[in-house]
Amino acid sequence: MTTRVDPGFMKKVKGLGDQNMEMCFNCSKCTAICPMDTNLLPRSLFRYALLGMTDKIKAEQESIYSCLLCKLCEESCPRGVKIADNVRLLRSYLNRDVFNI
Amino acid sequence: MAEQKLTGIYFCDTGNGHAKDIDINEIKTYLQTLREVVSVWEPKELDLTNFEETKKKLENLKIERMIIAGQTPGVFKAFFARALNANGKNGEEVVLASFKEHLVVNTQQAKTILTCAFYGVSFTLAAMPEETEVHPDTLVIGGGIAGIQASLEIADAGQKVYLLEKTGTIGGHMAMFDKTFPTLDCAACILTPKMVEVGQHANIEMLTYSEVKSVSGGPGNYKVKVLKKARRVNVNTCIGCGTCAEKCPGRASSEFDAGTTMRKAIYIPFAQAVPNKYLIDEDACLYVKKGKCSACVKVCPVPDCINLDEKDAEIEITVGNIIVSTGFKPFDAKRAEQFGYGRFPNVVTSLELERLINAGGPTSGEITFRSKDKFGNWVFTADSESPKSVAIVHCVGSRDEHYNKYCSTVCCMYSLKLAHLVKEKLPETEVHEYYIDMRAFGKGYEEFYNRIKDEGINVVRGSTVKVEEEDGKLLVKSQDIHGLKLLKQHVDMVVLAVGLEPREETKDLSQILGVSTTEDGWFKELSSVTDPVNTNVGGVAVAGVCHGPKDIPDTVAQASAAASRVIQSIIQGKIKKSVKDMRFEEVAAKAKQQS
Repeated sequence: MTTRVDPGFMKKVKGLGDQNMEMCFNCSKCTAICPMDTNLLPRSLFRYALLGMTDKIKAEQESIYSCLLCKLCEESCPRGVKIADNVRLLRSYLNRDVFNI
Repeated sequence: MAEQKLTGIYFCDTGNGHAKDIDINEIKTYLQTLREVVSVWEPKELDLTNFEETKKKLENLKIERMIIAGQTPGVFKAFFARALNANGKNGEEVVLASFKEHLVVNTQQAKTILTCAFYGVSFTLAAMPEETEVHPDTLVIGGGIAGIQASLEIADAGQKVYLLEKTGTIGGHMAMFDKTFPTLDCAACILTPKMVEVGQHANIEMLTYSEVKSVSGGPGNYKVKVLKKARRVNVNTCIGCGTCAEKCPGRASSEFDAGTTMRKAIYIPFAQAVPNKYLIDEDACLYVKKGKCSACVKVCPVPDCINLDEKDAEIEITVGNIIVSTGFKPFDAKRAEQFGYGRFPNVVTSLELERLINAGGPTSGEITFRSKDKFGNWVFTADSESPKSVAIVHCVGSRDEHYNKYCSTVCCMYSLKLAHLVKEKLPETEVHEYYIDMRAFGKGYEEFYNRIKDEGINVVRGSTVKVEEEDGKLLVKSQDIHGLKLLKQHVDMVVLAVGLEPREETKDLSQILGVSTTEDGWFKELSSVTDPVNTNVGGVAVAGVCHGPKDIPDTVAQASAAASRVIQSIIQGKIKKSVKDMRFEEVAAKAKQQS
């Protein structure tokens, strides 16, 4: 299966508000502490977003909405990524561009 | 002095503009005092989109030469060269005064750079500090591997060295290590012969159990006041028999064994200590604390060797050069609460494990669980059980905004080494390593990493977030990034690969010496690329980890480099004054003279 990437994706997301996903250096502390016990949240999700893998993001809607915004991950993040805000931003992207709300 | 041409000056504002401390008006006023400067323009005064108009302005003022100043003056070089050419002048007479290149942050520095450009003199030549006579003796502060190496280099060149050490013995952190990576050589086998050499060298005077109190004078002639703390045991007469320690009732945690065991109040730091003489820890000694007990004096076979009432003394030495090699302190693992150090007895630091593995350590080389001794202190003993599984957690206290942002550089490699040593001692034990990025950067390091992976050690990419206790075991939570699997690993022992931090004393010492430090608290070199040992203070060089985290090979290399700078100045009999003492007027006068 080929993966399509949308190089303009992050531009669209940035237009919706402040984000700092680029700060992530892939240590996966966030995924390990996440109470949802998914392999996706939040590190992999940000990787998909940064690469512009829109199909993946659309397919993982459930996970994006399952985030509790509890900020446990933010507390242990060594790079100060505003994880909850970034997830909110991805949600508003989905709301606008996918569900046309 | 060469004839100057009529000059125009243009300030560009490209490249993030000027630093806020640069006062353009003050510089303008100054420049207009130079006779041949006919005009100074700011961007708003000269329309660079209109070539004809600018050309005409230059022509009217008969300008033969242009100086462009600012962050990125090179951008405008072609434009002014074309304008000069069009006026029938030499288009090569465009001089750049780059603020960015010379790291200019204030008006004085900007004026200096512009003056040098005006006289057509290289800033580095004009700003060369003056030389002064140098005293042939050298002080090395810190007796770790860096200090030992630097002292030996200078002493072997026939010059006198004072080696100052804060604790009772030289050796530093390297003496505590079992093996060195990547060759797995025995650390003590490399270090102790050097320590003995220092102790016996005719040109080295050791000042152990001492601290620098104050420094006066200047480069080439420093007067250093040294506080010699009361050792309370006569170094010259003590025979190191150990009878005193047997009878001593005072106890304290052993610094050399990284707190894994207890020592007496009268103690020898470790068996191979140099000088191999006892000293008294005043915080643990009952006589010093309560005025009772003098058991050691009663049993000492040498008359008048122990003097419990000895007071601190102060001496003054004169030296020409100072090498700072004060080293580091390991990150306090208790600060990273999520890993449970201090709460769970079997969460240990890498330095503690290093002492356990060492045959001269508290367990004679057995890796065992922490247990309580009869006084209620947590210690390691050989008769405790050994772990069946060990997890090594990387980057504890490094690369984290909560603690230290920098990479401590050595933890990846020493963790791999510890994993190998655990596997060697306990072949049946599982070893897991959790890392963020594997930084195997040095010669032979990548090969070492590959070798460790082949030894059956489970090396996982994915940082550990938390250590919990579950069913009497430790639970390590992480994610395997490559396999995209959440991991909850039960282990018997967790090893925290703690990073390196500047010592608390670094701050005081930097104030005493006037050497600047970085944001993180490490001593700052003059230039990280071209001058990594000298500092902004003339005659003060840095070596080893006090300048920034580095491994033993790099430390030794830097110590030798620092020593070569010192020897260079002693042979020449001259030393450069501090760069920070250079004044604008001095540089300007020199530039004028050299033009």
